[in-house]
Amino acid sequence: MKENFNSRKELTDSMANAIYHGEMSNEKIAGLLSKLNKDSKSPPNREAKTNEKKVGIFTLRNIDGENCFVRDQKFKADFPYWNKTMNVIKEKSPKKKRVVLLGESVARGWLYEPLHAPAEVLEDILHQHFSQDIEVVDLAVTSINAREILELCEEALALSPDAFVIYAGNNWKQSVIACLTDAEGYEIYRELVSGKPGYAVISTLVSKAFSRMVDIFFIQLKRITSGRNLEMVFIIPAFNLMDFQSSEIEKEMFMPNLKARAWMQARAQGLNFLEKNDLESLAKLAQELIDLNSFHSLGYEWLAKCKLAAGDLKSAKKLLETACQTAIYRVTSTSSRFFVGLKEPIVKNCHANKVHYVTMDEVFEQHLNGGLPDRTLFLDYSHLTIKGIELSMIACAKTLIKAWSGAEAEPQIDSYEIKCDPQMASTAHFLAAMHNNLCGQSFEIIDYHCRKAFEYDKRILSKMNAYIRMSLSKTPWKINKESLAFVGNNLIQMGMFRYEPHAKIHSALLRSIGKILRENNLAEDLDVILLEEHTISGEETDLLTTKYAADSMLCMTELLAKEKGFYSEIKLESKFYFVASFQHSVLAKLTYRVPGGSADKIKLVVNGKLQVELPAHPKWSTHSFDIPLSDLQSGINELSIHWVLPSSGTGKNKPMTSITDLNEVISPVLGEIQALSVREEEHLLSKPSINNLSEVINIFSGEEIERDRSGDLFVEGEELII
Amino acid sequence: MNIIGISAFYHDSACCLIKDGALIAAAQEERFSRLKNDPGLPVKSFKHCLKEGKISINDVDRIAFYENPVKKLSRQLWCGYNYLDPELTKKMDPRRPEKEIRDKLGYEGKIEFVDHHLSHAASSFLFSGYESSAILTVDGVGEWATTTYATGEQNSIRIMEEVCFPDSLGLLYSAITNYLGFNVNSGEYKVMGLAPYGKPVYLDLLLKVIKPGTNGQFSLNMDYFDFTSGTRMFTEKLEALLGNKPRKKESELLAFHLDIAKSLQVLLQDVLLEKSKYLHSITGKENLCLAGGVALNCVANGYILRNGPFKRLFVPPAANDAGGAQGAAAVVYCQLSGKKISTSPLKTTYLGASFSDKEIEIVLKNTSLKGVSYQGRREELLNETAKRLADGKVIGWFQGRAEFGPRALGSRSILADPRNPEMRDRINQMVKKRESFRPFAPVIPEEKCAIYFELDHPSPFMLETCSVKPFHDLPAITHVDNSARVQTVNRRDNAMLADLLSAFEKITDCPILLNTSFNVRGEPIVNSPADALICFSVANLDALVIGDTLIDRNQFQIDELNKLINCFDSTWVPVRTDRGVYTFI
Ligand SMILES: [Fe+2]
Repeated sequence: MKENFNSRKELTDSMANAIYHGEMSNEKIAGLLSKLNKDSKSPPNREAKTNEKKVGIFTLRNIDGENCFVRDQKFKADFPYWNKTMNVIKEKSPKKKRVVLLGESVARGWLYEPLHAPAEVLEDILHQHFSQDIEVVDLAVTSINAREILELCEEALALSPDAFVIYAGNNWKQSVIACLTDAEGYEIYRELVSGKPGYAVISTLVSKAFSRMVDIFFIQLKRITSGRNLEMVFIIPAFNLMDFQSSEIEKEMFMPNLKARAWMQARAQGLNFLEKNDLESLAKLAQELIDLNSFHSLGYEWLAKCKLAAGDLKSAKKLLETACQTAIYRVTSTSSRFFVGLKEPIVKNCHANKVHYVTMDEVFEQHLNGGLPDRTLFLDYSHLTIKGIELSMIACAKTLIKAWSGAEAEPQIDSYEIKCDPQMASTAHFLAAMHNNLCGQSFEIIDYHCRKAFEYDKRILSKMNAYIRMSLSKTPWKINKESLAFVGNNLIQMGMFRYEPHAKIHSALLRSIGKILRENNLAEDLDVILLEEHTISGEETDLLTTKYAADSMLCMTELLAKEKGFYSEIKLESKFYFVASFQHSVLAKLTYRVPGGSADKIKLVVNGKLQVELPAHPKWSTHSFDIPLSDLQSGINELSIHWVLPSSGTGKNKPMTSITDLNEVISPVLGEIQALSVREEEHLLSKPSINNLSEVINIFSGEEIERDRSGDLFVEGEELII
Repeated sequence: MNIIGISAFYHDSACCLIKDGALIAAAQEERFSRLKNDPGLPVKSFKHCLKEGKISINDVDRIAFYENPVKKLSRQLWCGYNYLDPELTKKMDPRRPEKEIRDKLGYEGKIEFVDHHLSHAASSFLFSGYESSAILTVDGVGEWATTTYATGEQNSIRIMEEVCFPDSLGLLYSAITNYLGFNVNSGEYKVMGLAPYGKPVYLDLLLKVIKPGTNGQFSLNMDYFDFTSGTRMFTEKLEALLGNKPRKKESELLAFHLDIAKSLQVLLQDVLLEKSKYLHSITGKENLCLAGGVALNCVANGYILRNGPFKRLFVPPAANDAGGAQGAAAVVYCQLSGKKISTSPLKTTYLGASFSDKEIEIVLKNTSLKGVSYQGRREELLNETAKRLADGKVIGWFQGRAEFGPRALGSRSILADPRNPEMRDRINQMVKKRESFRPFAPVIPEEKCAIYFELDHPSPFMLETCSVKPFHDLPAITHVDNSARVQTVNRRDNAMLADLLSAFEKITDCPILLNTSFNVRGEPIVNSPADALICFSVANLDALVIGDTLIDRNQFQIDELNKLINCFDSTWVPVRTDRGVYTFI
């Protein structure tokens, strides 16, 4: 026994050593493992799947002799992603036709549900034509991906559907990327690090991946539905082309190409033209940007702006679709969306497989008399307004009616916009403002939604008031008395609480709310609250928290920060906010490094004023510096760190082991911060008096701090290049 | 010189800082992440250590990791785990500790790996204050060793003998814990609490599963155990041997279960006593240092000291793997500096996070709770608190820096009157929501200890039990076998608590309080003021003393707060790390 133990141990000791030193191939390991384990039990297995019949979160139960699918507590953790009100799916009555709606959050009516859902609207419209002999089962699921939709389709056959409506495609980015083989991934990698602009290989591979992914989806769909007498409608989603912009982080991301500097320079110039509204020059420059880096959205967006101004909607649409699609080249997180490259393959497959389809962009354009989809139809990038839902479901209903009765129907319905519950609409717009804020959208669009919320229902003011106080407060929302304003408000709870980590002391959303509150005389004490809660007087305040860091939710840095003990930046600029009393200078302390290092210097800037230039060391170094009173302002101050461009293409020397490694190539980390804190040099003897504050701060008036960003960028951009 | 110690990737990950020879900061990651027994890299506690040490990451001279990943991998392969299973590859990767320390902490300096049991041994001896001592470490398993016999002299440790996996007292105890329907890695404590209700009638049967060996050795009969299946730790043969099916979780506890618990506890104590006698015989030392997860068994610790050959016993407050961080850092410090640990003997476990009164005030201000600030009136605050305790109130007590280790020792505690016969059930039901058989611990001034308990030395870390002396009626803290798990305090180490005890004594003539951890069942002990307010509210305590502020329960305020907490919890389910089952990976 002991001998056996020892010989076995000798073997595993040497294996462990070799594995540690990377000296053993997987084949060798596999061989030794089978030798080791030939007479021992197999390693731990995960739980076997149960055979219980289910459809998503519903399992089959017999209730009073009827086979029903009942919401199962076993899947409790998934409940938030599903229709909230449906608890039982009854056995289909032979008299009725049953439509099953599958899809993503768009198909759930995100931000309106459960009070208003596309499935209900569809049923409503269909009832007009088929009286009560038709029902719609809502199986739309937030965040569902292509594979999961197919699984759900298969399960949903148990509901004996007469039609499937699939409204999906917004969450297919990962599925598309997964369609790339390792070999293709390597080709992509090679082209990226080669530094050649144009990226012809990548474009081809990605469009191939679009087709491949869609083909696979339809092959599976066909397999699942074969032999069934089913009508199928695929609703091809649209994107908010007019009003959804690239976020800060998306604007900043760049491909590693030797032209990065030239690109930055061109962008700086472009911002200048933009400011002067010199669209002719901007158009030329935009084309230059596209030529330098065809995978960056900015050139397309600017060019589209010029085309729009010239009334060329067709060209503008194409450009904006391309801009939207550049997100496929970012391996990093970005808002979910429909890629125009999927449209053609879907249409082709629909024809081949006798699936009806509705193209939402065409429906919307028709509604807008040729205009491009905008905020009247979208709450954000892809989630629909009440009008948007109405249009999509009318189009869907028409397709179904035609399929079943051959009739070209034109359903007449009262506008849902008019008959909807104003409180629900108000809440949805307020949530939309929050969500757009998280997605790094402009003040203008966020303010639009806040005001829309106010327009629908003035009572939203009390929620806004509570929200801004919760955001400025250090007390967690879970115990913050202001959050009580949201308890029992089912709609707002839905999205609201998960936003807590993103409640910065300074954001476009807070400025918009602050402005509206001020107009309604509800904001007098906000500046004081801000100062009291966030004073840095005598206390070292860590700025590496989500409260003070400026990034939006979809920013890579923040996602990384959750796992890491330090802050990683892939933008050229990292921004932080802190609150000063304007009575003493501030001592700041920074521990940073620049991966790869550079001969250029990084810059520390406070409120647009350069404080110090520091070497771009590849190893951590710590620096303390004083921010003089003259550079500070009372209330919120902005501290930014300007990183440097990597000297040449990046990530060259690292072998690529998986497709996600492309991340490092596409968006290399430009700077890392291990510690960043600020403290006012001396203790305040007394609390600042409210009177003299209100004169200088006016943080929530929305006017003061709004410095001219584009101008800033230009100047700093130039400095960076020199 | 700054040495960071880290234990991670199994259970209870932790980080500590030894600055110029003094242990000045230590914390388990779960306190910050709020994930019970969080096994991940201690990213947040690392930041805590830098902050407490007022140092930057550049000032860290070494990071000491608490075990040797290559040896551990060898043992895992030996067990038959399939290294090539992608999920296991990630877990078993011997480079993972270094990789994560580089990638997630960003640390650029040297990393030292200290063997698991050496880390345990060091966490005890190097902090014991003894010039020389015998050392016994006993746990489930680390790399290979499950039990080691060692001696310590000055600042060095020599390991003399070890018992190797799968022969393990810790795993034996866990397996029976598993059989009794409790969670492995945390339910062992419950089994120990259960034991006094039973009779050791199954001792003879249990002796069939473990064979004594020569010297320090022993071996488990592996027909009865299964440490690798991942679903349960014992085989059907054990069921057959004990004559009953395993108890289902949360089901009724029968006399059989109580007797098994008792038999197991007696078995453990007997083996440990025998092995400590052996250790004494080969070292000839008067002092004994214990560590490893089994050293959390305070009943056995007291038993060894009372019945064994050693005169003095030291057990570190974090005797489990969390303490491995502290031991590893100490080993590296002593090697590099040639000096001893200056905070030895370890006086305090208050090494965790602390919050200023201002921070507390800011959090409290925006809740529905109203408190009264006693700033600058500490005596008054203590008198008010003592009055409430004497009135039978259950009080949340949040003061100073959080404790390191699994026990609450007067920083994050729930306190109550130990004389009140209903107190135990009341706390169990409303606060702990747990099985009611477990006793609570008393806390008493060091100098009064001998009046009430059969204990002639300080017990600051609540790591041994002793008898309650006759004629003292302390039902809430006395176990059925008349034992108690005593914590002693003095003014030097915890003035606030010591003064509270005397304020309580002034009113009641009793210098003892019931002390249990400030958390609800299944949650880590509270760490921040916000955690404390949530726990106070959810558990519906009678009052909360947080810093200088006293909050009396006001049902309306609490209801408001609970409404919020429930709403929050029901709409937003945080993602929990999946710890899986009992793979000893
Ligand atoms: Fe251990």
